Amino acid sequence: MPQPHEIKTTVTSALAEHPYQHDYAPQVTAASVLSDALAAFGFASDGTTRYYLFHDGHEVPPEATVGELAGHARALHLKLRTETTNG
Amino acid sequence: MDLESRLRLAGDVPAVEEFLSSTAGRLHHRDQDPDGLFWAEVQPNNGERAAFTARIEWTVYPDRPPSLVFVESIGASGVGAPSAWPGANGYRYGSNDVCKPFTAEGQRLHPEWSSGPHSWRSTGNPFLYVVENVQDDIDRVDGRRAG
Repeated sequence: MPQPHEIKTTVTSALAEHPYQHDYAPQVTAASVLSDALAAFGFASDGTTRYYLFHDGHEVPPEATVGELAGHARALHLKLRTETTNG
Repeated sequence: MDLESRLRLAGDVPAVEEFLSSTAGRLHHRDQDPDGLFWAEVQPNNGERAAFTARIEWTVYPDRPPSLVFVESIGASGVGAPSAWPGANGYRYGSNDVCKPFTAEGQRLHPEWSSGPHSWRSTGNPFLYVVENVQDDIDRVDGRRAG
């Protein structure tokens, strides 16, 4: 169960079999969530693929916090997206 | 296309349809099309720009990346003119390919991509992964066309 004020955060990826879920304090940044999600999915930041979080139709700035993104909601759904290198 | 590929595609297509619908696009598969052939209408986030039509053809799903080209309209037999292609990095109307790790054409052009970080991933829903990448690449250039 999330502690009071924590936000139940879910990150989904098209290439992952299951979503990543964790309860975060509102002040945790998107960069931290991204790092945790990549580790949970087993995706390595290899310098050739840029991973980022997507919410409400927009790329999430790394410095945005879970609280800012969730607003008044107690849960937050983020999508993991990629930008791949071209040849 | 083998039975397993058909079954896996059938399971993954609804999420692709839902995604494209959420961006005002649409996925098409006509009765006369081979099992692995789809036409994705990709609407740029900039609603003033017209939709692109991507021809996506899977041979072995999910184990091999799809062929991906842009065409003038659904059912078109030939590859589209420059105006049918996004003006995005790696989308090369001149050589009729999308030179990215998530396409058959890209993997064929770059044998070195067969292993390491550029290798094809068949986990989750690769069809959704491809379409998300196409949508995001198009939105990154604000829906501009190559010609």
